Amino acid sequence: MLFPTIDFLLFFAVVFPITWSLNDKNTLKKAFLVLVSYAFYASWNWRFAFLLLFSSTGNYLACRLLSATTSPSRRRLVTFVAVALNLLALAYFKYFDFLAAELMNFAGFFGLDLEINAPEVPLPVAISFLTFHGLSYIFDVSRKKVEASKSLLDVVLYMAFFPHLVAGPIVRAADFLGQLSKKSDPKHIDIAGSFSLILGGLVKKVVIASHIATLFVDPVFVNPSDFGRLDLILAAYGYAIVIYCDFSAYTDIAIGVANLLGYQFPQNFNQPYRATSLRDFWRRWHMSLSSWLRDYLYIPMGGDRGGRWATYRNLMVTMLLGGLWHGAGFQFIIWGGLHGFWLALERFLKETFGFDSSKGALGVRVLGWFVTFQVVCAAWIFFRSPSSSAALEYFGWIIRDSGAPSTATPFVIALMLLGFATQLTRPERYETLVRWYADASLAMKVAVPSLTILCIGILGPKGVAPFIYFQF
Amino acid sequence: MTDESEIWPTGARLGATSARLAAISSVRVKLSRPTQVAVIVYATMVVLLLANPQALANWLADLQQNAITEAARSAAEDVVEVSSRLGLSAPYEAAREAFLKSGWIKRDRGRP
Repeated sequence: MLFPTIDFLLFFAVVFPITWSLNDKNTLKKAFLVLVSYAFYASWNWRFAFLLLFSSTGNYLACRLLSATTSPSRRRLVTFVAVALNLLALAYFKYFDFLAAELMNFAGFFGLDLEINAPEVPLPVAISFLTFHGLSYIFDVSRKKVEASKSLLDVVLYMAFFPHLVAGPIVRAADFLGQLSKKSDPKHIDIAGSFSLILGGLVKKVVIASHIATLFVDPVFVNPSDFGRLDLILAAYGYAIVIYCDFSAYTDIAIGVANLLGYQFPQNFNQPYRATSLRDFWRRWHMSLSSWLRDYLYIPMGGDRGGRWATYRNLMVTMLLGGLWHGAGFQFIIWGGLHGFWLALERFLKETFGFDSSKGALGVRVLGWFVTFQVVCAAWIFFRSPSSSAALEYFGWIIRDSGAPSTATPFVIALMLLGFATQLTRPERYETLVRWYADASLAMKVAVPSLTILCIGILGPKGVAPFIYFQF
Repeated sequence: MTDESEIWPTGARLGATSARLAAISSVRVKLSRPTQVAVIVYATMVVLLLANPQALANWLADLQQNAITEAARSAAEDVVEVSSRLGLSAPYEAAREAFLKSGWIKRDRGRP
């Protein structure tokens, strides 16, 4: 069930009033939200709902065991086993085929005939997000940042709550479980902010991302040899807009929907293509993932406490694993490696020469913005390509240039500029719009979403493609 | 010949509209936030249903056929007819048709 569909509109129209009518009976409300969240997840494949239940129950039991254990060594053992089980499930569903193929290739290199028959297991939707939520809960309880919940229902809802279930944002147990302990306060509903996020998300996904992807970026990445240098470069920039508009649309809608139901999610994007350094980029892009990687991977590895080279190593390892999390393929590992390398390079320049492109004169910041955007777009070529060799060929075609004329239509260029304008518009302008909507009459509050959705219907493609991050 | 004031409301009529909007605004103060959201969601659904009823009819046609979906489809067809007769769906259909005919979403596959 995708957000920009009639299915979801009807689903929400039923879920919303029942949720609020049960607000005074908090346990019943949570049970209802679990039920509808499982129905939401089962709409892709009902068998995966058992995986979700198994994972939630396992993490609940592990955390209960952690809270009952005082011995540090036993706590470490329980944490290790729980983390390993979460990662094993992820490895089995997501990386088994990749690892089997690489092992067979490796064995073949030494003349060994190794046969690993990979079972044909479909990849459960959002298995990675599921794992992140489970690990977040385990780590937070293990570090005593949050108490292990006595309520299985709360943990099941934390893992399955339908707005964040499929593609984030990654919500920390410490931030969410507290919200479940009491009834929601209707005053916390930010009507204007939520509808702005939802409507803005629909425009970004259905009009901007879908058209740029289907009309231009996808054909170029499928057959790069058919296109000239200008198209290949434009398609890389186009993909930067597509993935931003697609992914931020999902999390914006998720944040808006959760808020309407009385729950608060963290912000996930903050105009990432305004970043003047890669470090700045990761403070603005998929913020819930970058802070997750920082808190649960980079800092436990030592962060910047072990000296200069250990810091570079930790940055590199964190980003390599972040890349691998996105998908089982060398193209994702290289994507992560490029980010890790550039983050380490920025740190090296700062520590050695005091150079920081995020600070300083306007010219330095503009140069920093330009270079950062090129690095991010070059890395996106690996992310979008079906394999690392296809990505390298893509770069090869840019250098060779087939001489074909540009095929980007004015409509595509206009949409790309519109997508980019979402990055350059000052945040105050959005806030003015939200304030205007907040103060508008109820009739106007109905007119705005009605007209926006009708305009989306007029300008949208036929059908809606799944969100890019569903595959992760 | 039709008097233009019948189509484009005069100042007096605009005043009446403003008064109605003000009345609705005063209602807003009394509504709780969940109720306001419910009003926005359901009223938006009604507007969408009247302005583009074919979307719902097409969606229902894609569902598995049973007694419930059959009844819903029949009701949706009725809404399509009423909306069409009243001219409510005409602006959306004309705008969509114009967009599809504009050639803006014609895909160019690159080198022939």
